[in-house]
Amino acid sequence: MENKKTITRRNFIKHSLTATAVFSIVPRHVLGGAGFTAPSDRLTKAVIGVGGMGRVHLKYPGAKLLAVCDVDEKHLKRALDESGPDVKGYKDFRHVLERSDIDIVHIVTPPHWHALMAIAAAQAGKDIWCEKPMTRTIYEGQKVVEAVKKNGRIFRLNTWFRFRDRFYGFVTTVEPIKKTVLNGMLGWPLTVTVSGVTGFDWKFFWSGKTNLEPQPVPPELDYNLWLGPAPLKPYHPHRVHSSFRGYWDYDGGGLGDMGMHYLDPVQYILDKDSTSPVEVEADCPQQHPDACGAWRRVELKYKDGCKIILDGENRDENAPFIEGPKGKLYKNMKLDIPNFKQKLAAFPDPEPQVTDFIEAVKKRQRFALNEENGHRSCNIVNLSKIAVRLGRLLHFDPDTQEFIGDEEANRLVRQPMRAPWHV
Amino acid sequence: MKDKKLFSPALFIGLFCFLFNSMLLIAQDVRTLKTKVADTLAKFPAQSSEERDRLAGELVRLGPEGILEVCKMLVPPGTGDDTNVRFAMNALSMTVHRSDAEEERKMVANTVIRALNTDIDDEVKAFLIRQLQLVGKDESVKPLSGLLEDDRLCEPATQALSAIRTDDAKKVLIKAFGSARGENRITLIRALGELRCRSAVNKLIEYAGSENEKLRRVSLYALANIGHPLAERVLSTITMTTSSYDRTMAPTLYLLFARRLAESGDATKCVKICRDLIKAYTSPHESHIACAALSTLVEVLGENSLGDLLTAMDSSREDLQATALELADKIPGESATAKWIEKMGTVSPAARARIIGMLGRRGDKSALNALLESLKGEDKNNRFAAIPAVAHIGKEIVVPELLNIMKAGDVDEIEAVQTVLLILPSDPVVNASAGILPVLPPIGRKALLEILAARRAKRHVDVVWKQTESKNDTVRIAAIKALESLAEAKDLSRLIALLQKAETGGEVTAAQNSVVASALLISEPERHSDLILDALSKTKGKKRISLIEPLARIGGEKALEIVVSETENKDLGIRMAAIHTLADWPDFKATPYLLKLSKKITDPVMQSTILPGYTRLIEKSEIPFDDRYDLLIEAMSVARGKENKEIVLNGFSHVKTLRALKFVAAYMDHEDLKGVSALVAKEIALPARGRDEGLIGTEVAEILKQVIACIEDEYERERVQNYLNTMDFGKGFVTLFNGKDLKGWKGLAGDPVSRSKMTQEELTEAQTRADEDVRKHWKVVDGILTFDGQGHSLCTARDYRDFEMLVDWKIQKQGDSGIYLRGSPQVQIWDPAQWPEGSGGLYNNQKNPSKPLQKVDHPIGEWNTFRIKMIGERVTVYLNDVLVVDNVVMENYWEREKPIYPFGQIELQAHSTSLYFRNIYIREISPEEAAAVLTGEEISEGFVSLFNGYDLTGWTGDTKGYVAEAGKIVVYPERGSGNLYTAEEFGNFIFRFEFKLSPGANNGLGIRAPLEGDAAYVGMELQILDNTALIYKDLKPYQYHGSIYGVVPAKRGYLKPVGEWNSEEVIANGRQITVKLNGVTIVDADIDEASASGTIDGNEHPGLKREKGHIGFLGHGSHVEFRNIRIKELR
Repeated sequence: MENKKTITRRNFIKHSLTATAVFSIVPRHVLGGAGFTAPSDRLTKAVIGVGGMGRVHLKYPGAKLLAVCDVDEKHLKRALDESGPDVKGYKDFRHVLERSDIDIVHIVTPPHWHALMAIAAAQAGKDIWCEKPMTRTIYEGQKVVEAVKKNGRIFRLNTWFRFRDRFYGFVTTVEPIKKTVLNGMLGWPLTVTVSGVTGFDWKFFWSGKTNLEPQPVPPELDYNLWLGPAPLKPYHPHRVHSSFRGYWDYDGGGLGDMGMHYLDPVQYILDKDSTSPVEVEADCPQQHPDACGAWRRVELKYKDGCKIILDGENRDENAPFIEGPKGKLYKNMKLDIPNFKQKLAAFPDPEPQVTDFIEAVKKRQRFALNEENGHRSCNIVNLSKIAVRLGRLLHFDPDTQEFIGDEEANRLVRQPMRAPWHV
Repeated sequence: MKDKKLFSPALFIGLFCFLFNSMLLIAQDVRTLKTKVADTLAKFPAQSSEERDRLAGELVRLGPEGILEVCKMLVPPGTGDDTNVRFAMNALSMTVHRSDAEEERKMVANTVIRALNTDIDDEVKAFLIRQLQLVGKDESVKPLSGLLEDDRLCEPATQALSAIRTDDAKKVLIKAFGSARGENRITLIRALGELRCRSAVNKLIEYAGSENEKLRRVSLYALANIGHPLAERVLSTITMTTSSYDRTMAPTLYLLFARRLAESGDATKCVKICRDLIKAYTSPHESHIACAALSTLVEVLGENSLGDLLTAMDSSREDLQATALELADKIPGESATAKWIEKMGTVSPAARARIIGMLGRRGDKSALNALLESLKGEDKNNRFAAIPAVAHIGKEIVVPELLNIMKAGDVDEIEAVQTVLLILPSDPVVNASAGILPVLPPIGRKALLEILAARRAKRHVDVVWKQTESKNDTVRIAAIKALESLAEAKDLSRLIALLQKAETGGEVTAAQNSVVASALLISEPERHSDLILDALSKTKGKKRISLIEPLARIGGEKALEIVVSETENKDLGIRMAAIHTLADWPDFKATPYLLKLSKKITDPVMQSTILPGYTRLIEKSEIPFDDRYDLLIEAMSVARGKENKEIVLNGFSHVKTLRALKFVAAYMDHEDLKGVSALVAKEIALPARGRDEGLIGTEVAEILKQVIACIEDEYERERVQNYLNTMDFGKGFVTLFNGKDLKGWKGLAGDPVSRSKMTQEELTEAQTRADEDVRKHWKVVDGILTFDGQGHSLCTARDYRDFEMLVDWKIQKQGDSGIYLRGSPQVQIWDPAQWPEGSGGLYNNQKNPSKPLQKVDHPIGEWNTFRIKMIGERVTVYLNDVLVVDNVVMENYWEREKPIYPFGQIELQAHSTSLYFRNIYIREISPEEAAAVLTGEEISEGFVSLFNGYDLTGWTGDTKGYVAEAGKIVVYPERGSGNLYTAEEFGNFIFRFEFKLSPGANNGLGIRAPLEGDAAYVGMELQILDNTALIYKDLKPYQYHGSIYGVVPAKRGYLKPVGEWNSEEVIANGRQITVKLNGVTIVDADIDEASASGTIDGNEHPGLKREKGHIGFLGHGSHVEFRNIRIKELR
């Protein structure tokens, strides 16, 4: 027992290396070299869901756009107007998947569709670029992981902070933070606080409205298909398009919106890409059954004692981003360790990651943020959502991915879909 | 409402003693069930889980009948607000949704079922069914089965049954499937498929050939997932008969079916199907099917599938190879590793490279020798794959082998080795690198120099210094670069020497970086630049440039002086370098010089090197917003061309004031600056992430609406819209001066007295003349309202009552002006050189103070800002953010005997000197807000405040549940919900207060009450209640807001909407009690008469007899806020 509790740096590093699924370097000079010829010179893509974020996906470079798909004719028309002449429009994503000339499918719908579409795309042999949050429930996430792996697909999630871009309140990418932790400079176990104080504001304006008066469905929208697997409820414009995040049926408020952005890098830093927390508890006002609201705090604990605190009300004004027995790391990469930079430099770097999705598709390499670690990151979001809704301490089994001895809570892990949809 | 208080133990005991003593009738909770339900519902939503569980407990204790009442209060969407009820139902679901609450769960589920059997709307039923989806178990199966034939409810009922998942649940689904039609049939098939109900198979096989696409697809899925052998023929031949999408999905379903077969024991059949599929699907765009089949094989066969994996490597399809190698992880062990090594010899080089990668990942030490072989092999891709693989397995042991590649490898290999060395343990890498470095070819040396730098291997710094003498440029520059990480302060002069020797751009830059790094290590900041300046003084010509540039990252006053003087250098190159250096200067001291330069240099390209430095320093500085504003305005006036204007506009992003917002927003009219100004306006107006509040007000809102129209990014638009949606317009200022013309202003057509004597025609004529005069003398020059000193005052077009205004003003020497309030003189403006008391006083006051509290005028020629607040006859003035007039009564200059006029125009006084005004904003203060402070009238009438705004001095009772915050007393039910009384007793009085209710809130105002007992009986309770809430629809009139509880009913219908402040006045004068709510008398009764023949509620109210007592707020577990609590005693 004693041994289990104390993780030495050496053990930790070892663990860290073996837990990483991919360890391969393809220096840029050899990409596309002999023997590694890509399946085609130019990859092709389709974008499903061309409302807000979908239009951004139209422009991501690297693959030629062939199809766009939306259940709202106005969105579709706008996307077609902005795209080239050889781009075709669809309402039903299944018709997009029938096309054998499309390599990559971008899924940019509200989250209640992500799992269904990702699985169908994997089964149709497409590689997948999926918006966050990855899935609306934990079970759906497991099914995506299974389908993507089984069908040998390449999957990426559309959040960047694990491997690129500045990382919210930090002046750097996540890499030096990873390196600091990887080399045990803060000790172990660690507590990570995600709050406005540490650089990550929770966006509670993504709240739902209650008591909405039903409105006629606008003629351009196929509401039934927009809902898909979600329960049938009367239409109101606030439930769809740019404000859908406020409803549990489709997403999870600010947690759904920002959770993966904030937490995926944390999971990477803590080296938890292949596991999940074992405990979660929320401090929050009661949640409405339909509309997501604000919460005060969510605490998630891993088996080894690492903790993630989501501090929704920025309660601790001096919270470090990461706190360990040997040091604290604050926003703007400030540390309470003297001579930090010099010390850090002497340590090995984290392993390089595969950060170019198009190259990953060509080379059939797992992308840095893929279905598996993406799903684990999304679990943190989904666990938090369940804790906020249930308002009690929950015990989770990271292997079976169900709550322990808690059939009731598991009904939120695995929620039935509306026919004919299923995962 | 009273009786619920019986739930509070302390009060219960108190009340019990009281009852015992006075032998009254109330021995138990006398509330009706409906009242109890309503009382509990009013407390939703709970503010914490504990509170939610407690409230759910209250509901549970009300039993099935009570919960049924709750269910009955659900209404179809759009027909009333049942938000609280839905919160309550959710509290029940989530609370009984625990394994240790089985009894409660069953009761709730059964009650929901009862409610489902009543005649209610389908959408409400669907809501209730969704609760069963969370809490239903066996008891719910049969009742739900009854809904499976309903077109609207079949779907939710099926989902609930799917969640319940018991055998009984499956049975009822199968039964319903037998007779289902249309959409219901599809719903049921999906569920049966998910639940793998085998008894449906025959019928599903029939449907699998249906013409109905939806029916066919869902049946095929169900058949596949159930995995009954009978379905094989159908599933193996889907492709022959159906649509393109079905053909796409057919193999997936077939594989799912195969997997299910294996699960039920027929692994052989499953394996055959998988292997057949791998053989059948060979075209490139179908290889995912082979992948899926291979994955299934591994799942079913375990390590016996190794042969299939090895064979997959013979395929030319990369995704299949990649999948096989990922699956290889599932078959660990050295013997499998050996098989893979053997396989390497027989496959294509590309496949071999992939296997090498897998072996590295696998980490099996027995593969190391084979991998080291590949490291030396012919094939470059294999060597490449082997580099990380070898490192991963061998770690520090293979450092020599890896370094060996540095000797002869090409640029790619060296880079790959460099990458893996960086992730290996430092010491062995650094030591070996330093040792081998001198004998390597240049590219290898460069790579290792970079490694020494990255690891800050200071102990090997000599090796690096040595390489600064290399003849090879690449190596020499790499060495100089490395010194940036390795050099100490003591190396500075040596580094300066290197810098002075440097020839090429790359070398100069590297040396400069190292010089800076070293200089900054000198412990005294003042001495950082000494050696560089010294070298500079001894250097002539162009060579000076490379010494000037680093100063930008070092700073210091001496250095700044030199750099500024170099911006005048005759040599263009040096001059340019100095300008760039100045623009990059690290501290604020450079700003005046940068501004001067940007005024002097009008070439837009040159300006665009200066202005970013200027705006950067302003942003970084900690000077006040107004100063930043002025500095940026100056820059804007000299900025030439679009790019420079954008630079300056961007500088405003951090100046979070209305002035800045308005200034920037004006550029949204300029086509070429539209986008940038909109984004900057958004930055100014919205709260900085995680920090202060954003700007508010109607004017801000107007600008933000324009911003939305001007920005492209949907996320940002959404942010702005969200902000707008939640903005508190009540606080908003509007502009009085638009910066363009005199819209909203008029001339002065005489003083108030003379105006009042004019006829309408006379007034119109006088006004026309005055307006003409104003146009001659008041002009807008560069956005500033300017007066030439010749004409008359300028007046607002309309009158104001209570208001708060902001105005910037500027005068010249001996200048004189003022702001007339309600047409009356004046808040004084003048030259403090002549009038040392300064500006801001109410100059014409005779009885009340006329001088400002202190002199805070800015020097003549600079801008000053007034904030003037006028409520009633009292005026408060802040000059330059300092209080100079503190709530002083302003006297009527025109008619001395009268108080100041209740409303009137605001005037900018003309007094024969030139004047300048800008940023004039006004916020009208509503009567409600004005009433929120004790008015002068009230003071003179003898009202006193009972609440000091910051603590509960003078109050007694539940000082835990009631909290003083920001001028309010707030009840937090989760902290306590007792009573809060005045410490003092009052008999006859006028009591005024304001209150704000939360939805369904309940409180009460006790008067003439003792501190113990239930004030409703032992004193009097005037109801404070949101009787508009749906939950209170069945109230008795004597329970309405304002009623003397149980005795005198109040008129209903005068409460403001929930969330707004109500004002109430209670007059208790002898036996007469009067209650005025928002100005309307809702109770006016003689309590003796009202109780002469017994009270309406039939209870004894001994408190009616009392002559005096405490006044207090009586908590009933709701969130309520109170403010402006004041009283006047009547004697």
